[in-house]
Amino acid sequence: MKETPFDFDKDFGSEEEAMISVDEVITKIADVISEDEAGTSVAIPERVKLVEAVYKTMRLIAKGRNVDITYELNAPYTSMGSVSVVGKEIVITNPALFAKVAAMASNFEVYPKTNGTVQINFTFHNLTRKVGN
Amino acid sequence: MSFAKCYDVVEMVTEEATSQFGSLLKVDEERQQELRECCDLIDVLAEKFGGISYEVEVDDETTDITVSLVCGELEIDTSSDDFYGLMHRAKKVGFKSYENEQLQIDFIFSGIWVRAF
Repeated sequence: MKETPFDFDKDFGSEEEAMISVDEVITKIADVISEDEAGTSVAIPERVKLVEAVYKTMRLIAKGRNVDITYELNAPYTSMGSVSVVGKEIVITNPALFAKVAAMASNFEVYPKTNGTVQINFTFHNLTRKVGN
Repeated sequence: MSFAKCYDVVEMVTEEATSQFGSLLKVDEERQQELRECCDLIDVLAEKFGGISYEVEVDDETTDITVSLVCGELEIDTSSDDFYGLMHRAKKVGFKSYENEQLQIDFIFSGIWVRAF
């Protein structure tokens, strides 16, 4: 019978066991991601174009008060990118176009910040592919 | 926790606006139904993202209707049809910080009134 590393039916015995187990999982995931991110990668131009399209569209349709729009590639991991819009008030002048570009991102979120501003983040995955092996 | 329906709040405000517009403007039923559908979508968002309150305003000059939803954070994946559906129907959408580090989302819709003559 094939053994699996999972056992969804076995509960954690205590919160301490849960804490230790979760820390182990997080550490192992970080190792897997680091291994995955290691080596040479090249950008997939078509996917980087998505980031560019969202960034440029936000520059066009995101108005309001003290609005700042930025983009970042290869962060927090090589294969990821993001577009951020921060402002005291952000007004989207073309919501239909906003919806179109938001759907291009892997996900997007909007949240208030402690300094009274609000931030919109578009996150993009799989912007690169491995070269060789 | 009970939560007012968006359209109930909208209806109260638009009825007041209708009486203020007097004989100049009348309610267009198709636009009213469209707005009702948008309100239903806003209710879904409120349910999903911990909606706290609604506020509704009618612009006297443009007759645009602003429906403001106060909630926690908003995290949308590509399958959130409700949010995208709303975005396709709104004229503008605004985001700002509300008190106690909450999020206020303003959906601005075209008014439901047309000339009475």
